[in-house]
Amino acid sequence: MVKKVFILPIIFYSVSFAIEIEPYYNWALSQGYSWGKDIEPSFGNNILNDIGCQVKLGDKDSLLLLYEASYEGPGIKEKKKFTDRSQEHLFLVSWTKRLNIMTLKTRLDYLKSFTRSGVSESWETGDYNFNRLGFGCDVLTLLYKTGIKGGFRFADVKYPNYTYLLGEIDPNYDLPRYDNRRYRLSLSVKPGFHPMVKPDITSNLHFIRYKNEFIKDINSGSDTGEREKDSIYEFGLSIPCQLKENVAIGMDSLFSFLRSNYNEVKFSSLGTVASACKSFYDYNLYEFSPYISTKLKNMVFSLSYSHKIKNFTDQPPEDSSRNWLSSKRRDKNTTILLSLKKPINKALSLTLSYGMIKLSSNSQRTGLNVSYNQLGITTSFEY
Amino acid sequence: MKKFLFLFLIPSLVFAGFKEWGAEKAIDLATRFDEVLFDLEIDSSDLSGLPKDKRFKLSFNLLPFTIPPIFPNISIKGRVFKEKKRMPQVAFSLNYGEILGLRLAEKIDDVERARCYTYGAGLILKKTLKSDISLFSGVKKIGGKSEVFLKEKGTGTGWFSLEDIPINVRLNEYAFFTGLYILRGKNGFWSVTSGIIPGKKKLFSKIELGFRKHWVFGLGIYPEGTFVFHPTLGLRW
Repeated sequence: MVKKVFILPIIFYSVSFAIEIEPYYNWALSQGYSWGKDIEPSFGNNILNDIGCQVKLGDKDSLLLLYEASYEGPGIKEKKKFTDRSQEHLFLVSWTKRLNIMTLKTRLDYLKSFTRSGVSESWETGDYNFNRLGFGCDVLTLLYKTGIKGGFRFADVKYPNYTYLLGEIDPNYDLPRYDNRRYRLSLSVKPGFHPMVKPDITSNLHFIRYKNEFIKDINSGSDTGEREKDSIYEFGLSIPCQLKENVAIGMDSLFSFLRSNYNEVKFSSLGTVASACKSFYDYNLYEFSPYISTKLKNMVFSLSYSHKIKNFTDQPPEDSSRNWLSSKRRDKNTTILLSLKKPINKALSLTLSYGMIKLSSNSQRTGLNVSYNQLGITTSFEY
Repeated sequence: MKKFLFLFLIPSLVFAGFKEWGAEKAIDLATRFDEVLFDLEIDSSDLSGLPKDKRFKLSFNLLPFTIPPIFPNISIKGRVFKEKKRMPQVAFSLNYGEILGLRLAEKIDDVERARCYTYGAGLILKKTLKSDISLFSGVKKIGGKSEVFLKEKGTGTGWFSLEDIPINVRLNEYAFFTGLYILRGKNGFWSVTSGIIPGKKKLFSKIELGFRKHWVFGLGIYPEGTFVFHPTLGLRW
């Protein structure tokens, strides 16, 4: 009995000494101004706030607790038309366990997203509000100077307010249209043989299964009984190179292929099929982004160029009246971004950025053929 | 210090340039008066905890709320528990502000009663991370009232009726906030506070720059507010 009395405080004292808590705080405010011959000048406002802590439970276990709030919307002067704005709240718990030859990371997260198109609309009734509950597991190991990471993620996404318009009349269609389940398998390899060049090769497979997005037959226009299934295959290659102590260059590239069973069907005024396109969402995407960054007098200059090409395999482009044309739709996105980051003190830094963005497409749909400039200033506090 | 002024002058200069935008804001102010009161209450709050050697702190915003006297306000902070190795500092915060000019409206024959005030009471936890950086967090209760009652129904002023303006509002919400406090030299500091009022899904942020021992530049940021940026100049003892 005497031994038990003394053992308990010792155990408690040992455990309390073995627990270390390292807090984390990040706050960033970005103000942007966009202008160009194709768009109405507008301000934008982004706020990101992270607060969390890492709890070290001994030598091999640690727990990460994180809350993140973010806002994106119009800035000090809103455009005369309605402007979308959104806020998101993320809660994350992640447990890391170090084993002899590998590290295991598991996570549980919950995201709540609100979107509205004006201050007169309530946050709770936004059509695109969604909730996402997810969990995942990653395994990391190091073999012959090569980092290998494999992982799995699952997320259940619900859009409680976005239902079929037909649901107003037919109760069979009173369903949340965009609810889906997402699965992701990932693998990344980081060879570390060269001291200056450390490539990162990644491969991700995404599977998205919609619960209530009906697939229509392209001939009759009737419900086939199937639900939409999307699969995205991604391959990425990043090659950063530290040329000198103050100069780094690199190239990021991404190849992404989406395959879906969704058919787009347009009906005539008589209710018959006017035109239809099978595999409407399928595309092949290629992205290349070379960049250079250099550090001068405690400031970091970065210049990056990004070129993205999206080729739809079946979707035709549209004319200005939304009629389909004969070829296949092809979108291009080119961005040049210049930024300058200056630390003010240990926690505060300022970043100025300027970007030139050009979107072009053989489709005449609004917003696909625009060129504009963007100026931004970001203030961030981080510990 | 001068090189940081642009952070606070840019929104003020841009504000001065938008005339027709001002008319839109006046309408927005009249229809979402409760949001404006929340913003003013947070502007007048001092949420960053106390320095280690201080037991009490008194503060108020001089510009633009006391000069001109739009919203004179006062804030008091007091330490409950001192910070120790494994325990954060615990402090309370109380503040009060009132639109005194509204009381003058009671001199108008048609107006029976006119009041507009806000108050807040909060609890702040503050922990030193490094010698000059602290993390603080807390919760506060925000209350207040705005009421304009007319003696007779149907009485108006100019082209609108006072009855039509929804400025009779009550505030009763909780706000949660966190922030970082960074010392600058002997008497200065940087502080950033961010928070949320869950009941209204309202996000807010504040950046503060303390200089010359008693002066504080502040910038309230209210993304969905009538005025997104609220620059202030305050005094603290």
